[in-house]
Amino acid sequence: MTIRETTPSEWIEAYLFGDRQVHEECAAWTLSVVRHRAWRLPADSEDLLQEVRLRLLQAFEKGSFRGESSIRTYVESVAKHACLDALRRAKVREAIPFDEEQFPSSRDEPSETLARREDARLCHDVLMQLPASCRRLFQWILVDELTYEEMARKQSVAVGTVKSRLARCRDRALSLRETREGDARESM
Amino acid sequence: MPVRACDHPAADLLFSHARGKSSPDERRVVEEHLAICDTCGRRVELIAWIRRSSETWGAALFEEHVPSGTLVAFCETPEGLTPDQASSVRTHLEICRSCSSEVATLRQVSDALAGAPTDARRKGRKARWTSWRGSLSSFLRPLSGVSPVPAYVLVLVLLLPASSGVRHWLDRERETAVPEALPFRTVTSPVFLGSGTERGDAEPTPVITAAESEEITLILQAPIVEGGAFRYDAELLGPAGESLWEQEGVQSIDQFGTIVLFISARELSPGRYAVQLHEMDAEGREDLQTFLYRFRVGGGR
Repeated sequence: MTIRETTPSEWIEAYLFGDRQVHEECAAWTLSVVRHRAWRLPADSEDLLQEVRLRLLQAFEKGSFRGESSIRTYVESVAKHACLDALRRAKVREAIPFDEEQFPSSRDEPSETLARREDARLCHDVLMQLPASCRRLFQWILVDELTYEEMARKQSVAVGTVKSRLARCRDRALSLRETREGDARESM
Repeated sequence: MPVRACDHPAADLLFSHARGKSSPDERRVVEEHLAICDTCGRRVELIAWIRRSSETWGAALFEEHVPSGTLVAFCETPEGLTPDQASSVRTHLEICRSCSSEVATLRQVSDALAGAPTDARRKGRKARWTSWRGSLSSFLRPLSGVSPVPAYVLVLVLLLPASSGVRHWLDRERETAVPEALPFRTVTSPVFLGSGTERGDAEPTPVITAAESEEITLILQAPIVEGGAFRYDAELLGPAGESLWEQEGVQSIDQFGTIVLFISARELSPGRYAVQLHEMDAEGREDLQTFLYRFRVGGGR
């Protein structure tokens, strides 16, 4: 029986058994994703290949493949997932212009300007560089409008502790924002 | 209430002021201070800046990046996401440059895998073909005399055998570029072996049936000691407990302590084996813990 004639469950069984032909096929699919230059990953593709193998092993043993796509599509999705994680670990970000046509605004307000969205993007960038605890505090006070007593109860700390944490987070955000604005001015 | 330049108002006062929620007295105190303190002026401006964006984008402004699996699903199988999930991802992508660039990369890769040319590539190819055709026409026109068409045909006829040969060579290169796949078995359920513990004679699983020419890949999971700097040294023990092979400083491939070892099956005759994993301190001087992973090699194929 050739690979082409196997059902997905037979293919998975062969993969778990260690069938060489199946593994070679899987490696070819994985490498076609992992070696694509769009990722610009500094990591060795062999490391990523190994990581994908491990994820596939875990997924197949758990029965995570539900047959909603072909095996090849599933393998390629797992490979893309691994590449994204590697990209995030390496903190490699390609400056690709945001495609307005792909992602039109979900807001109805006609007054939504490009400048305000750029501002929001910068704000989001700065917030993502803060610890999650700082973001949580900012969200509680600016979006959820919790009182200091409520925030202190959530964190099981004194009100004074919440206020001093907030002050530290604020100053850190200020420093990050001013650094980014300084970098932007230098690059112009 | 006297205010000195070094008497910065408490964080909550500045937050309340930036949100427009301070009492008249508090507002007066803060505004008097802001008139003489540039630092607090910048602090208030920062809070107002975050507040402005949060009024439009809400909690999405503070949310973590979209998990990579969700992003892949959003691009590949959006029908697999709930409407709320999809909407949340779309909202996030409007304000997150990192995730939106990852989506663009995912689409590039997917287009390439599907063989569908992207718009940029199509336009680039068309422009290159137009330019190439123009150059070829200019070159061939004097040769053909009247029209370049017969010259095109002549060039194609001459190039056809060469292109077949190139294609055949490319196919062969592609075949050999795929690394040899390694069959493997997962060795699970490590036995924790502290100092002075007896090993016992339980039937080791799993069983690996190894052919002479195969290499076995073992995947081990070793718990990571939190907060420590350490390394792993691996040792393969034979049926008589003899040390067959050692490797120092093996690396975990992820944050869960997953270690991959490659062992040549050529040296393994049927019998019981074990991988002993020593967790050492970073200098390799102190043995912190030892784990034992048993497996059995069956007859050849």
